[in-house]
Amino acid sequence: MGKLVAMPRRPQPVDIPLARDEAIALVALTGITYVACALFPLADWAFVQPYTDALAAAHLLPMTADQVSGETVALMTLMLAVLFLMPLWFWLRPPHFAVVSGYLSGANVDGSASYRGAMGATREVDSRGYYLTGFLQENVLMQRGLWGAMILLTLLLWSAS
Amino acid sequence: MSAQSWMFALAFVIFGPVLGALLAGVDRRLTARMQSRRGPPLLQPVYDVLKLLEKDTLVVTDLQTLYLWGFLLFMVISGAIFFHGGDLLLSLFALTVSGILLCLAAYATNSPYSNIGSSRELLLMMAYEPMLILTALGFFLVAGSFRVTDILAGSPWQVLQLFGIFLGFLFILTIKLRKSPFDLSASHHGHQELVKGITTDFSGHDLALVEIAHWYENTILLGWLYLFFAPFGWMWALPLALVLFFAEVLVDNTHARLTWMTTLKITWWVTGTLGVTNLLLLPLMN
Repeated sequence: MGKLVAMPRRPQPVDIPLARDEAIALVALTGITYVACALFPLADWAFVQPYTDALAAAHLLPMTADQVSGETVALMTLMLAVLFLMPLWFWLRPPHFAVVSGYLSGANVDGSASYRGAMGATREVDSRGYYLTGFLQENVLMQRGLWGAMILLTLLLWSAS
Repeated sequence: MSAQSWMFALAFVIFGPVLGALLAGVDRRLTARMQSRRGPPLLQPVYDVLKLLEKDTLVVTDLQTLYLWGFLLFMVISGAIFFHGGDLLLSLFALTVSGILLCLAAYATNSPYSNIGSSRELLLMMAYEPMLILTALGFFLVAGSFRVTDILAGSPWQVLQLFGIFLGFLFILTIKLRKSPFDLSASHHGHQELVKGITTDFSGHDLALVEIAHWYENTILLGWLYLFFAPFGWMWALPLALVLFFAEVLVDNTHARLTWMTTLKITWWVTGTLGVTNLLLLPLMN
């Protein structure tokens, strides 16, 4: 399972108010995501479509009259509605199930944070599992990603000019 | 789209889990026979779920139930789009979202065995998703459309034109059905190193949702398999799809579990060798 990163369990800060810096980051991220999604049709109309039209006019893209069908738009809307309405439904009508601590292969001592294992010893739970280190080395990925992004941006700006 | 196609979608919503449960029942019977056991009744999966619905549900967090409902709903949407004759890519998208919601449900429990299971499930998704996308792309290149209705009316030779992709799909079907040697994320036997993996902290009503979603998934995967043979007509296509579907039981019972690293390497190798090569050779065959 890999032993590079340990994630010791800590009690979840459910009773402690959210720290100000975390709140700023989370609220900003949520707000920007909402705005980006809402403005996507505008960005498409103002930037993406003129760009693809210009590429098509320069015969770099095939000229097509393809349009997303109404049925596909309806189904995407349905899926988005499910994603948005489901949490609302749970918020209005929360399920009333008994809340227990997670399974730890032993007698839980402090919620899901520790358990009594062999010989009655109390052991803190930590799980290690950092996959893909053999596939993706972060420093190599970072270097190549930066170079790749720089080359692509240069090509994009050059072709736009 | 015609009223008939909407009827197919509705039929999937109602009868999809029934067919899926029967497939699971036959699977268990075949497995038992291969192990010289009598096996449970055909409807045992249904009895299991009815029993789960009667049991008390224990949750680590209420959030897991929310995600599991999402897992089930997106599975239903994926199948409804498929059986409605709609866009294969859109159906695949819903299927992927469904899988991710299952992982989120297990991650939400913040419990070690569930976390291991969901990490492995995400790795398996990384392994099989490219082949699934290539399968949809292959159908598009042969039938000229991503729509299931157009693929159904395609050339009878499509299974030969897409033979590499077909073999690749059979390979990843083993992963999608969570069969050995790729049953890394969940275990039917609680004594293994990952306990029950992704479903360790689900019980009662929540576990029933997972089982019902898996029944839907069985039907959807059988549908994907059927697509390869569909132009032959259902008299040929359905038995062929069923035989290949249950061939997975033989694979399950004759192979030991692989490690995640080997699974990822082999699956990507199969995707590249069979899937990509088939796509490259397709223009020569048309």
